Amino acid sequence: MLTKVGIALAAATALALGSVQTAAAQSADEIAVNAAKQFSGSEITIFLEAGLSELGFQESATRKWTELTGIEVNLVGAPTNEMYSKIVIEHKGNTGAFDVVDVQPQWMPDLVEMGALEPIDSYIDKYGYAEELEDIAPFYSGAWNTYKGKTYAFGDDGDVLVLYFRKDLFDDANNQALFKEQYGYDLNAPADWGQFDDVCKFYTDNFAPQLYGCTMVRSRGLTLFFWMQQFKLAGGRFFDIESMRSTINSDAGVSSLQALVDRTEYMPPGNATWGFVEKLSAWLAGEVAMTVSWPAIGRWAEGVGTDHEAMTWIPQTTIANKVGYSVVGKHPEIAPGFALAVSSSSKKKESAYLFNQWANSKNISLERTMVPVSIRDPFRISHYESAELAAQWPNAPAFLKTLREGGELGMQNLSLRSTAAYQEIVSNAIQAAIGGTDPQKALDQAASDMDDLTDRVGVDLQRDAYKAWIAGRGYPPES
Amino acid sequence: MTIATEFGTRGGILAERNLKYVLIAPAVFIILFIGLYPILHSLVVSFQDVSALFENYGFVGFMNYSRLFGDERLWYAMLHTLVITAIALPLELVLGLLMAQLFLEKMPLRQLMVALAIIPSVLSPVVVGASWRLMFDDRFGPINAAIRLLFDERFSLPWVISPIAVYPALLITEVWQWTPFMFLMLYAALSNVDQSLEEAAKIDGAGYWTIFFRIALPVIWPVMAIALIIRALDLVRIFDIAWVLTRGGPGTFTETISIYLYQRGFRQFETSYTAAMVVMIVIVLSVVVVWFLRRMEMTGAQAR
Amino acid sequence: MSRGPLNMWLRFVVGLLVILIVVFPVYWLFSMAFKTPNEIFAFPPVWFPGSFYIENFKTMWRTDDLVPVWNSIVIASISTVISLGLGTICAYSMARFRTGGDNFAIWILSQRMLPPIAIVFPLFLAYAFLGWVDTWHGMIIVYTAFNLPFVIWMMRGYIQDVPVELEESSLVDGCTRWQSLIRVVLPMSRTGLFATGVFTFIFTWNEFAFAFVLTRDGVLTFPVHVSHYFGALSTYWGKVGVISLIATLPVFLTVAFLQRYIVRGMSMGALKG
Repeated sequence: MLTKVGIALAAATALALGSVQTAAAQSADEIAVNAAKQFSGSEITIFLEAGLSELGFQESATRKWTELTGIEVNLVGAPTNEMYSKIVIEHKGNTGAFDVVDVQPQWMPDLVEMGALEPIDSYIDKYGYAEELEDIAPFYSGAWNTYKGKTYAFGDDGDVLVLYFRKDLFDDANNQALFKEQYGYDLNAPADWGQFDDVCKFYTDNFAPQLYGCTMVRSRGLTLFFWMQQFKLAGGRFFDIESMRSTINSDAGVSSLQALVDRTEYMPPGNATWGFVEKLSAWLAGEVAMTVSWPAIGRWAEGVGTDHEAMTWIPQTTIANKVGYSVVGKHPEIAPGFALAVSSSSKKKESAYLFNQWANSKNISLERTMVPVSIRDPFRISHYESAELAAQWPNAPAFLKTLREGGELGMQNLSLRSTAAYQEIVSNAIQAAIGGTDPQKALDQAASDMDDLTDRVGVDLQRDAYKAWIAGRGYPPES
Repeated sequence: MTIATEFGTRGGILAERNLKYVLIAPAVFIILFIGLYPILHSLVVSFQDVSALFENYGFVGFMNYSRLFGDERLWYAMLHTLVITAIALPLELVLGLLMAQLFLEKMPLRQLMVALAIIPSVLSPVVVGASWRLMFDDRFGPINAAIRLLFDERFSLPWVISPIAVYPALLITEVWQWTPFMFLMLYAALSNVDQSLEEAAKIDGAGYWTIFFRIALPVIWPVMAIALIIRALDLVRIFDIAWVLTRGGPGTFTETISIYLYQRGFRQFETSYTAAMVVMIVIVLSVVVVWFLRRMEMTGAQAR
Repeated sequence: MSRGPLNMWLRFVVGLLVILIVVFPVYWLFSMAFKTPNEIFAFPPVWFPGSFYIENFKTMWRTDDLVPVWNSIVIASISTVISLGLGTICAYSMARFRTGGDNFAIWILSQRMLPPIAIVFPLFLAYAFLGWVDTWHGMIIVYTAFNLPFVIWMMRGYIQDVPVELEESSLVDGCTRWQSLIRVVLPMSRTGLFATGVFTFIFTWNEFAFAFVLTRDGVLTFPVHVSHYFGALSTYWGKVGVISLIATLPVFLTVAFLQRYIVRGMSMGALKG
């Protein structure tokens, strides 16, 4: 009897060891697929951004996942600004309707504290994903993936806001001479916001209305990311860390907001109310010399993927091969980004997790950033080093280099308890200033609203969250 | 004969004394079914302290209500809403009435024109807000382009963010979309006015507007009053158009009550506070509407 | 108040001008369906589409994009019919018998004072409990409840316009209340019924808040689907134009062809006797 048990034990150990060895040889996506096959015939629901993202997911991921594993995938989309409320509502109703949720990392503190996200450390160990997680560039993991020591999501989208400029205009000898004459230093991609404004003014003063210096997005939900970067670079701080009173109305705040308002004068007429698509069309039509934006702009300027039928809304580019890349102020803002998480009320958590691991893995995520209609941007070291991505257009290597450096030196966008509410307050102040309110007044109002909010959230709780965010590199390192 | 007596004078469910309740029962049931829980929920929650962050289900007294009174932003939101309602409502009434009079008699293509006139109301408010926003765009929009063509080439005005132009932009869009409502309701009511009375008055020498005020108006007054109330209530609750066109901006300059509710309720998830707001809104509106209805009952009776 | 040919042609010209002003923004929106992105974002603006650009139509035909329009038609139609039926009989009871008096009437109207976004969250919780989220019957019932106050109040007004004498004479002739409602009151108030029905349909059609929270992807309605075209980094103006054009057709055609129900002169015959 003992021998029988002994043999059984030995056999079991051998099998286990054997399977571990085979597992080690497989890549994370293969492991995920194999493990997910047991759920074949079932269905998972993914909640994500509506529109282009949905289509991107379908073309680059979910169709293939269904082919490989037999699991049906249901996509539920919502407009970007409404995603947060939809996730919270479904969670509060405990419906279990969503299995995978594509979250913006800035919502993590709230969602985790609410209990809406499932911790996935145990799954990571079980399915051996730790190694490929290391490959995610550090700035897109860390604060994006973990909260209070536990892992909840996989950073999935490298949203870094870098500078795109018209190389041909900057290299032009006449422009260079003229600029040197008018401003006293060499015309180059601006290193800081002061230079940015000089360059912007230069082009507009000399070449309007054929050419304007710059265009920036001015819509309500997006402008604040650009302002926040300048604010932080100018030494601005959101709170005094002891009292947790808002210091957004400091000199740094007022001066950077004033600069943002003044800058509008040198943009194409009407830019004050422009959203992303209006600005994109001006950029692609070659009407402006610079813009700061998301990586998709880089691809679309070169016409990569714009002939896809879902991209027919993008105007034709006239500036292919004329674009250079850089960063204003050395530390760009990283905002908002997306990460794949598992809903805590899901009834298919393991299946959901396996999809996330597969989609986020080295091999699959590379494919996804290359599918034209996907608006996922490179976020892994392996992406930055990928020969395929570098071959997409002549200047792509420079593009990847800038994205990588921007990410390495970049700053996280504000992420606290009740982030969405703070963002609304800041957006109000910015829009008011653009509409003519005195920046000091607008920011004073914002500071007062922020203080009310902080009191309601709980000063100590918020201080903890704020410290954690600073540690995840919320502010420029030098300061 | 037998049927009439059976149903009309004796018992049975369709007897007159029961009939009136039978007639309202299904409607009441459905309204209660959907409306009861949210109202009760709001009432109860408004006396608690529930939000996304905290879930304190204990009774906290009138804390939320007293906070309402000190909430400056709420009072501004009410002011903004009042301004919009006070300007849009009379405009929609007058324009709707004029249009109804215009199309009342036969004319070529009338059917087509009436159907076309309804279209603004049929479009999704999200689409209306977004397309008007593009129309008001300084660079890509036809409105400023037309003004530049007709008047001054250098005209430039960012409608949706300029404090002087944002209310006109909002009002133009709103009146454009909802005047067809007043138009169609009044058109239907005017169709019922007895033509023979009007003919007689005309023969007696009465002018166009005298005829209208003395004969047509008293007849259509019940419908007109109700259409006004309905439209006023909708204006007070205005959300979609304002949100998409201006996002309540610049800043909170055009923030209406509903937009503020949305911010507090769906961005900050302050469930209790927004519940208190809702209860207060319903009470205030009820008082106003009751006052108006009492006046309407009186005026209606006089006109008859 | 018919006057003469001059008056008619004068009104025709004015009417034409009015319609042109009203319809121009609609034209602008629909023209997006036929414009290329370069034309949509051209400076100065392009007044007419340059060519017959039908890419958007082809794309939408191939994908599922038109399904939400159909969903909305079904939900709005069923809800309108039910609301009109139940609401009109309720209105009749209130108009003729003063059932429930003023308090009842005010209560009904108070249902329309609630901003949808204010009550949608508790409603979602109730629906989640019932398992009615993202279902056909769930949406139809919500919209019926949402529309009934409107129908009841409007029809009460239109029914009050129907002279009581007519009904009384029919009752004397041997009709029951119910018969007089069906045979006398309804035909006499059919203009009101039509107008109320059109706007009940429109309110349901355009409703966003309930649809957004109470559906996911099963019973997606038109307004929510259209909102998906306005992304953070993308705006499908072409699709917006196409779907708006198609979505306008049901109501437009209904009003255009069923106008005989609101054309003047056909309802007054009975009075003169």
